[in-house]
Amino acid sequence: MILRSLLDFARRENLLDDPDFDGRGKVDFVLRIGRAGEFLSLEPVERGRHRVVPRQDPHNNGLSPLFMVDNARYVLGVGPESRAGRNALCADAFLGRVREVAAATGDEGARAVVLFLESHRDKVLGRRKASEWTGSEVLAFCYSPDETLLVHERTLVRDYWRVHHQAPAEGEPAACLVTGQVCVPVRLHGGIPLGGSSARLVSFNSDSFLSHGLGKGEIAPISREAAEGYAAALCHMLGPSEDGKRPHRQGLRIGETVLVFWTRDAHPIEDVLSLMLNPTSEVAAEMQDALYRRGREPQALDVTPFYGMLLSGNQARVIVRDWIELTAATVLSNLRRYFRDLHLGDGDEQPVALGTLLGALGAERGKPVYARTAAKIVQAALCGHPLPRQLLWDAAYQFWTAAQPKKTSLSDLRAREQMQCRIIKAVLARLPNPTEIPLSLDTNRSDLPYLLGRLFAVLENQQRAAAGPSLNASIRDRFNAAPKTPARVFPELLKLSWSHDSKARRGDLERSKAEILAGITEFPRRLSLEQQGTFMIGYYQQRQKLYEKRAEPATQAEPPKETE
Amino acid sequence: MNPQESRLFRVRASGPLACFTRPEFKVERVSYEVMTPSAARGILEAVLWKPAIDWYVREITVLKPIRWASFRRNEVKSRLNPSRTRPYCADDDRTQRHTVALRDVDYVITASFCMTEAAGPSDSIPKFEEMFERRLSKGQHFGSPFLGCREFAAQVEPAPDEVAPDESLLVDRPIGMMLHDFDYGSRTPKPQFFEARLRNGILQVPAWRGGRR
Repeated sequence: MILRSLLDFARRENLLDDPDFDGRGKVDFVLRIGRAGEFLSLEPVERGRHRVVPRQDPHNNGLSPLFMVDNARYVLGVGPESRAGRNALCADAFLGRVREVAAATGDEGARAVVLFLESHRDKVLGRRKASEWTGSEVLAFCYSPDETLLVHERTLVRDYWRVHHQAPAEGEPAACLVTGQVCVPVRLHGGIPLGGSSARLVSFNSDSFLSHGLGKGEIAPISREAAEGYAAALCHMLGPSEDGKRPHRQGLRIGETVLVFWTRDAHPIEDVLSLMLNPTSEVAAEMQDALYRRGREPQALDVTPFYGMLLSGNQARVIVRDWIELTAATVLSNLRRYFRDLHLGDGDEQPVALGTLLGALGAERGKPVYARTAAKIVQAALCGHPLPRQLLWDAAYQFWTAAQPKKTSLSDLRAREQMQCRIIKAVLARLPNPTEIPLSLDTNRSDLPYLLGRLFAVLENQQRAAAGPSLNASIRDRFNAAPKTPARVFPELLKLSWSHDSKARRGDLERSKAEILAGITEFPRRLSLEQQGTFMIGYYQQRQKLYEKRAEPATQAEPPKETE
Repeated sequence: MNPQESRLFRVRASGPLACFTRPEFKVERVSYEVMTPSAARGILEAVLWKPAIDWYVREITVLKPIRWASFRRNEVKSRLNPSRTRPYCADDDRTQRHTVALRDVDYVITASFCMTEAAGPSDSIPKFEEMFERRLSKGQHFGSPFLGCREFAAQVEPAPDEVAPDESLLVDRPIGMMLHDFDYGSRTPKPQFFEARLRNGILQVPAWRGGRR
């Protein structure tokens, strides 16, 4: 279904009208030249305006001049050079190609371009200095007697390209495995801009990948239309978005991989993944409506197929890392469930940005663990799978044990802690044996790890009340093993709490302590990772409650009694 | 029904992992969503095959929901020529390749066999029917049956009557073109494809139009 759905997408978006020319090409500058090839003007093309360009593969790593429309490095020989002399080589290669075209067609526009490239290239630099070119701006030529027609759109040049673009079909006809039509299969597929240079999705670039004695075109017979179709679809999805804000139109870049997604028919959900990356943008605000308001549940009848593919580039091959095929309704409800699982506290449910989530886990952009974890989270969110258990460990470690990064303000710290608890809650809720975590403190809950966490928070507060502001090390620092081995830690903590209480004399804390202790029957020797997660959430929620109480005027604390 | 055709057998094949590789994604493997008729034939032939019979798969029923698993493996990069005399060390020849496979699969294959020209005078349909039933119930096979790739071993047993597809599969789901089997009639084998649809968890396999061996 993978290639067939890509081909359907290309047809739907009208990317395939002309197999040789792409009507939605991007051109940055038009070079207007005169009859003798003299330079007339350099016209920038406004952003978002499409021009017709010849369909061709993106550049590969060697010298690969394109046909009549190419980037500044090949056309003008400008741009930062990776190796000395590379610009000159590229410029010569492009000139050579245009010379062939001019010789073969005899078209005056093409000949003018040759004359320009031979002698008048430097005039352009007078208009725009060499240092301003990045080398990757796309340039096209316009022969001045034509008003707006670009040189490659002129009749003779266009026909030349049509002939040359279609390599002669060799081989026996076979049924295409995408469309079913009988035709001569194509041997080399179109390139896709992934992994730096042009990579191929379907390729057998070594003989050891062939079998049964079949050749490259025979082992997976695909018609030319299907091959161009899926390549055009992927190039369209991976191309920069119209407004230039996102690097891919319909793709989410996660480290080295890209998640491309589309629906069979045009559907507003195609923008939904922006909710995960950037929930504060306007697009995400619209999607939030779709998620939360448009009917309480997503329409059960919304069976529009939703496809997603996780791609990465590797050695001139494109690797499919995962394939997601769901309905739009399923995706919406999975996303709602994902955000609901991550919700903690009393406020409204808000979508959580992926970057914030990963930042709370200590995974910054650029570290390799960021990409792997992010990809797993996105997949789990979309498909409704359990979140990886590693997240539970990471979040618990960051919350309880890890030193907080330096120069974190208190509010940032609190936000991070809340995010870590949210992650714990989400992982626990999605386990095969889920543990339901309340959104805020639940005093009736009799779950033992939860009660132990609450107890720890109360004891910590007692210590703080007793010692005052000059506390160097709290029990959280000294008795860090409380979630892991309660039986060894809590008896001593309770003994200490008597001394704290006799100094602090906080009756409300004593009452909370007694209330919680009433529900504890024993101190278990060890707690599993999931139970430790529950412990930490109990601790967090009880601590929040105690902060709230302290924020109110301290009318409930009894006045300190005289020591006897 | 062809008088030379046996009755329908129902065979259950299951396993923790399966990869029915798509021909276009042979290098970095991606599996089809459902078992291919070619893989089903492979399982049947692992239980019983003689030159006198030819297996034809009629239906494949999917019992468990379709779930995916992705992982990377270090695989050997080049193909070994049998006439090679120099020593070959596989450890120096490895590359990493990615696989997108299926998890926790369970299928019921409905198939029958036909006699071929190689059938001798003492070969008859009931003879092979009984042979197959015996071997299937005892768990005998010529080679380990596998689900698409050799390393994903299959557990093969007779299918009980009461098994049915999981509820989530009771929809009409198109799968696109799927590999039917190879036509070994001519000098090089030719892959044949058919339009596949999963209806209520059942994949109907069209009649085989092509030569065999």
